[in-house]
Amino acid sequence: MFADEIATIRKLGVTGVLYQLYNFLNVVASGLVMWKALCLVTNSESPVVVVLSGSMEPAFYRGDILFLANPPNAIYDIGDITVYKVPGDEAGTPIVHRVIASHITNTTQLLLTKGDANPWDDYSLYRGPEWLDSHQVVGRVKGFLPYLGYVTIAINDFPQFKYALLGSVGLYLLVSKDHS
Amino acid sequence: MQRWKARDEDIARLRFDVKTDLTPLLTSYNTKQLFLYLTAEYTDEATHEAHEVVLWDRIIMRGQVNDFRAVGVPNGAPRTTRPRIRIDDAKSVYTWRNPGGSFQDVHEANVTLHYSLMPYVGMLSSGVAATARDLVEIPDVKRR
Repeated sequence: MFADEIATIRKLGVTGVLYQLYNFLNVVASGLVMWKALCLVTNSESPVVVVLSGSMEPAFYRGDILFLANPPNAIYDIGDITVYKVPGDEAGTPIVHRVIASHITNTTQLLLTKGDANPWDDYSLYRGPEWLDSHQVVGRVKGFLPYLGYVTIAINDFPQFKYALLGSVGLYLLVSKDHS
Repeated sequence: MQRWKARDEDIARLRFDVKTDLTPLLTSYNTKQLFLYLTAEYTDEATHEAHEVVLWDRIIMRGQVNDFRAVGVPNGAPRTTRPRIRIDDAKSVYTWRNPGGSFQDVHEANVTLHYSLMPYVGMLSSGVAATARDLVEIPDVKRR
């Protein structure tokens, strides 16, 4: 079944295999470096998020990709679409909703948020406090790319798809001929 | 979901009319929707804290450009096909509350209609769609 591949690996020899392995790790590492650089530039722990729920329809649908930025000590404007996390939420799912009230005090900014498609504001999502503290906000939506997030949704929902994808990419990198 | 408060609290409501023209925004090739929202901006004179609240909002999809004159317009009023925004005698939909519980140190507010433009793809943008002619004065509390 894998006779051809095994033959290719034999032909490459030890240094060849090592070199392909190095190539493979290089791809992984540069991906990580790019992600971390984006985190640094946008000052956000997750600068790219995929929409999972329909609470912001018709602006955002499930599977849309959002690009976030979170400048330090930012004052959030009313009407901004923010992404926040609620402490005590085990899953820690970030929530993408719009700011509908802002009260700036000496020490902090109190916000009230609401999903465009929800009939009520987010009071019940805050797990106790009446307002959302601006420190809980992890980013503000700046850019939008539709549909492409379905790839990551598929990877999370179907583990077989994830392993098939990883396996084929790995195998391709290991046995592909070096053109350089 | 329902929500009650144990303490006494002042709440405010607003009636308003809007006339504005957002044709360039609504006909731009990359406009998927406009989120229109009316805000009140005010300062608490005791604490000097800055407050801003949304009182009313509306989503206008690109395809609805000709429809939204219906908002708050009395029955039988003629419709126009021009993509202009005209809202007559609309009521605020969100409860206007002050975190302090009362409006005794708030005397006036700046009322503005903002837009948030949602593109098909790319950067989100926002701006001011219309401003109120004057500051809105906060009246004395009406007890029921």
